Amino acid sequence: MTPEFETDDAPGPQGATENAIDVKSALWAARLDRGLSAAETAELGAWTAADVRHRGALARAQAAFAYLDRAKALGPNFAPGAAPQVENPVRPSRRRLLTGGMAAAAAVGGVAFGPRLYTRFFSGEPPQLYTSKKGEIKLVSLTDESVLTLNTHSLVAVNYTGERRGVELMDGEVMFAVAKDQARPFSVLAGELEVRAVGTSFVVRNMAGLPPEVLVQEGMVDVVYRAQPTSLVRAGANTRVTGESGARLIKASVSPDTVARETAWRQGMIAFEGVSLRTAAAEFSRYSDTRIVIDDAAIANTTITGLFQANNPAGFSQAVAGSLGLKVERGAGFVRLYSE
Amino acid sequence: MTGVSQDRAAWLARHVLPHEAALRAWLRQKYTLGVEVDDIVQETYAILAGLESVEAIRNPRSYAFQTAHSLILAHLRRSKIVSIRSASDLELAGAMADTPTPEQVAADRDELANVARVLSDLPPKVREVILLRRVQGLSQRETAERLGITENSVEKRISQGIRALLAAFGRGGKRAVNPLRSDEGPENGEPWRRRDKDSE
Repeated sequence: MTPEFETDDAPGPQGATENAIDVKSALWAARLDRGLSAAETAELGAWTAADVRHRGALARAQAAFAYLDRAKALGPNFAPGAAPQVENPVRPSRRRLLTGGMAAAAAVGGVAFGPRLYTRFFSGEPPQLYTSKKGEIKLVSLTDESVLTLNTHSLVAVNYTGERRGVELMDGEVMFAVAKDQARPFSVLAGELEVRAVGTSFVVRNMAGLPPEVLVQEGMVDVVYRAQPTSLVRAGANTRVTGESGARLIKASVSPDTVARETAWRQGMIAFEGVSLRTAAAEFSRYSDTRIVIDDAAIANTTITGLFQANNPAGFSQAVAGSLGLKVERGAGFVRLYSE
Repeated sequence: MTGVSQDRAAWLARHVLPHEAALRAWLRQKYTLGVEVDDIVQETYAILAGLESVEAIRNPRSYAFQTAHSLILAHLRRSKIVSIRSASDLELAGAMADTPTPEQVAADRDELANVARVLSDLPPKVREVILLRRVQGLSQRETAERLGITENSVEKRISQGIRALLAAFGRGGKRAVNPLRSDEGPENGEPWRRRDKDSE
């Protein structure tokens, strides 16, 4: 007997690409998780013996299930005490009707998590989760007319109450254009850092391996380590605040040009001024799966300046090669810069 | 054989699944060879699952690529048609396999965020089961009792969660069709979403 998947709570496979063996092996992996009856053991033995691909697909499905262990790292609050009540507001059929990038991004970006998932910062209502994919920039309009611009591969949770407006930047980089509302302060949590604003625009970065950073474009914000109230720093326009270890905040003035350059991603561009090709290549890797490969250290250390399309590492490499007298080799998933 | 051990499943989850999208991307470029990507991927997993020990494998990514590479060669030998083009395509195998990349580093550090993304994309009924079973650590039976549904439903929802995860790993976070939810409207087909009117 071939068990059917429930159709009431999840649409069946809609991508014609899903492999039939994968469907079956996912079911077997789920059964293995609860333990097999003798009859099932025999059935599975026959199935895996029939085709090497069945064995591989089953191992892969079991690996996927094992991978979910990592969800535990999201913290004890991640598990809802009660079953999540929140219906996903996104239905595929509705998505198709939406046209226009902006409206679509704003309307369909939200994915409601169950309650108590991100209570580190929030309480009460479940936060809305917004994500952007690699190479994607997404605009999110919030109910108070504040606008978030998500840079490539970012993840934010938004939680508004009558008293305050809260956003947690869990990963990536987001520009906040905050609508003025004195009665409801707007705060952004990025790692251990909290940024408070009334009405202003600023960029927050929170990427693993790098210190969290706030770049103020307009208005005034307070930045503070939550565990260290005395760390509070007030920052005006054209200021950068960087969170250092030991709950220390470093404030530095930057030129309007720098602000413009570092927010160029909002137009789908990356701007460099005097950065090494190595750094530039790493920056491009945030936006594209095509790698820029530079084997020669001398070349990698060469500094460059310019404004480039973020999603076009090959074009960037061509431009760099042209101006530095280098050669370009294009291969599968990479572009190599070298000299003869 | 009735599945791999928990240890091996965990090893595959940690060291191979995260590289699967790159492996598939590389295999897709071998279309001139008539390679069936799904077949090669499944056979690669079968080989990795069947290894007596994985302790000696220093670079699992490289190992997986090499395994896939040898499988392609085996297929080619069987089909007895190796064009000149095919041979030169295959030379890339070494190059692709041994390159630790910035994306790899990025992928590692983003792993937690990726789990959150995948979970957030699951249908709510599938998600609640996955969370109870995998995060709270209830058994399938306890999960069924907690939710007041049959064990059979729990099992099916877990398998749906696994499928969603497999699809996510297959596409490596890039645009693709989620088997459980067709998210990709025409407006999502573009890698960029321009926001400025004057740039259009």
